[in-house]
Amino acid sequence: AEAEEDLAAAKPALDDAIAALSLITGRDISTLKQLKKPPDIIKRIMDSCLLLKHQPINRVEYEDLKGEMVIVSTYSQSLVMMSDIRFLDSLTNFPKEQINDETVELLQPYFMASDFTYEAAKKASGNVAGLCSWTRAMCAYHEIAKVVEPKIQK
Amino acid sequence: MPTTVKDAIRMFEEAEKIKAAEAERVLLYGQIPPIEKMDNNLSSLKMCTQLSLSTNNIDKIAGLSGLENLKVLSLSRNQIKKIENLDGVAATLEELWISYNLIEKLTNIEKLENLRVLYISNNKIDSWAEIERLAQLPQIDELLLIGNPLYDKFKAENPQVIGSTWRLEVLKRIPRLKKLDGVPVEQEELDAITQAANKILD
Repeated sequence: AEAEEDLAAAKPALDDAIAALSLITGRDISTLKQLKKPPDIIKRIMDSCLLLKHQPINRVEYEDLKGEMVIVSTYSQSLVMMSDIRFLDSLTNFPKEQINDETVELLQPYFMASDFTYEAAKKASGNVAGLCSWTRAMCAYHEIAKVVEPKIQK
Repeated sequence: MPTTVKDAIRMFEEAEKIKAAEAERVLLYGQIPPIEKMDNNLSSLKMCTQLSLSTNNIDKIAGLSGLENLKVLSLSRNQIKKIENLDGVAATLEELWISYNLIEKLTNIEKLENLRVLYISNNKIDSWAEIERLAQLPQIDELLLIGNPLYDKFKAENPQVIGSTWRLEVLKRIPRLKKLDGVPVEQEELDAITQAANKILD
């Protein structure tokens, strides 16, 4: 019962993330793909999706963005990822129980940036910002499930 | 100027308000600018069970002698080419996270006699011979290989049946795995391997 309560605590964040994800349409993605200069925060959000999906990512480098050092994104790879017509489905059905501690750690440097928030991303690029809440929720889910799972198995 | 290990430890101490020599988890990932060299400043981390150096620009594993309690070593997203200089922690190390590096060969991995978990996605592993080395690890039960040339090539050549065939080829070589590429190994998969082996014997 304690384990169930713990999992229940994770549920609102997960529900929010799935709701945010459901607002994103195929059209949002194709509009984004056509942008010559996509907002930097969106490119870094896409990096976090690449990492969750174990897709290639460049060696780490930083650049100055309005006075804050942020990671240079691997956007060429994200364009490949977004070209798959199943991209949004692959996120909706993402196997969140397969996330590991390593991936969560690889996402932390992205999460630390001050603009890695739903609000900032929403301002920059509308509905696609839902991916920001989604990546954070995936990591939060893993952290809770890691504690809860051993209790369930008992 | 890259961040030195010494600077990174000092900043960790300031942020966490703890002495690094007394900390069990020492998190030095994502330094700005990135760390490029591991050095002997690490050997002061006497209580450390988890050392995280991911998301930096380290090109060589070094400086780990004296970390007598190290169980989890995280070196993901660096520029490491070789698994080396782990002798000092081989007796205790249980998890090595080293995805997103440049590792081609798993030479020396057999020294890690207590290794349970190896995350090594998106490296340069290109041959089954390297995977076969892992069968020598008596404790290994979780492995992540996605994004290596061996994996990508196999996927390209077996597009219809990627999941199962890839998994069977790995499990045939390392039957004690409990989790592969994030997915638990099922009894049916192990049975399929036994069946295939019996057919050959007949």
